[in-house]
Amino acid sequence: MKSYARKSFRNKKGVEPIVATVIITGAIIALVTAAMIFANNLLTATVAQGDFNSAKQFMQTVAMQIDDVAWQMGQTETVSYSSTYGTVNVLNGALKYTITMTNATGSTPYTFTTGIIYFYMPVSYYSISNSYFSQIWPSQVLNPVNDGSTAPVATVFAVEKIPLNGSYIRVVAAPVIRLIPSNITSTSYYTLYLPMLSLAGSPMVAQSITLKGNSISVHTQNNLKSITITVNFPISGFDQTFFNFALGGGWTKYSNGTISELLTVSQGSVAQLYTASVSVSLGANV
Amino acid sequence: MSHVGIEYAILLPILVLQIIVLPLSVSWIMSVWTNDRMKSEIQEAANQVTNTIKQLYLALENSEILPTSNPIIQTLGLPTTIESHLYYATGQQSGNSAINFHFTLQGTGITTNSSAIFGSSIHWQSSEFFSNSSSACIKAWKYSNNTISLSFG
Repeated sequence: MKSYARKSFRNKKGVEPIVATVIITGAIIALVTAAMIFANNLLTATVAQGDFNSAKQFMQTVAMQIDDVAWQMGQTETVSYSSTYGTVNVLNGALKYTITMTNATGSTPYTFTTGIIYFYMPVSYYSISNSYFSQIWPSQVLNPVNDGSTAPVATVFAVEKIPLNGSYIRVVAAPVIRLIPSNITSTSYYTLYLPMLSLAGSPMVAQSITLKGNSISVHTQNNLKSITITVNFPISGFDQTFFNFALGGGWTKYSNGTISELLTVSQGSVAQLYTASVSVSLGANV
Repeated sequence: MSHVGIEYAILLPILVLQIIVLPLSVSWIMSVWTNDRMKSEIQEAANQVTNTIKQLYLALENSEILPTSNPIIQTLGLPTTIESHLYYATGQQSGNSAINFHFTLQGTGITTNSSAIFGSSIHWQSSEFFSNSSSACIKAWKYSNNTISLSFG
């Protein structure tokens, strides 16, 4: 019985060595390839997430820098960034502000168009979810006019809206109005500041943004009754749902997508509107 | 019989080689991947430090911020280690208005640089940042001549 079993075992034939070698070689190549693809995908995702986190900090710096250069003609500043999968761009004419000042003699509208600066990265590299929105700076969601001497002149937010000129996750710096109310003797003064961004060139020789304050203009109206601020979104897709300006507190949204606020001011008030032209060059300086 | 002998003579070394090649390949891939990830993370930390310093400078530059004898302290919120490695940074003022930062990940040979351009009123105090320091921060002083002095805490 025992000898039969031993004989039977000996007679069993395995696969040919050549076949076994081919199978093992194939399996190893498949394993190594799978490991490489997995590691590469994981690395890409990690690097892209790092790019996105850095971009949030970078755009916050850009927003603060806008305030620094806008009110000094000729002031030039460069901010550098570092990104593997993302880049920055300027979208000219993304926001149209109309400030209408009304006094006893009638209404005077002042219209200004400004661009926005945005960092963008394809969602194939990094995605959170469609319709994602996160306010970055300042921490609370802003409306287009903000009171106080320390109020920002640009808001920074991250947004993923697909499709919108491609499929990207963006970090955006968008100009808003700073309003400083003050009283001197019995007269109320309303001073408004709005930077207007426009693309000056994009040589793209480096990963940087150069901001330059070009000019400042001032418009003054006396004996005011009211100030109306209207925001239009001229570029399709880059609308209120993209910027997510906080409504309420006097802001109304109309069916054409425009949003507007009527500021009731003290009778006989004076308004001064400062606008600054800021040119933005992409990759002009290291 | 000799045919089988030749097969074994050729195929056995190949199999043995594969036993060596597989761990080596995986080890190499993981090493490349880990290094790249560490480079990415140290670069992200460098960007965060540079941007935080720049933002602190821009906030202090505002004329409404008065000079102060006590330093303004900004924490950085960076991880203590990157892939279990400590890291440190040094800053060096270049010319009147630029500061270059050099980051080193200890024990890996990985380094990275970042730089920021400030106004002419900047002054960098020679200092080092250590990731494991419990008091790691940025310190800033605004002097009466509007010079802004910065250092690692």
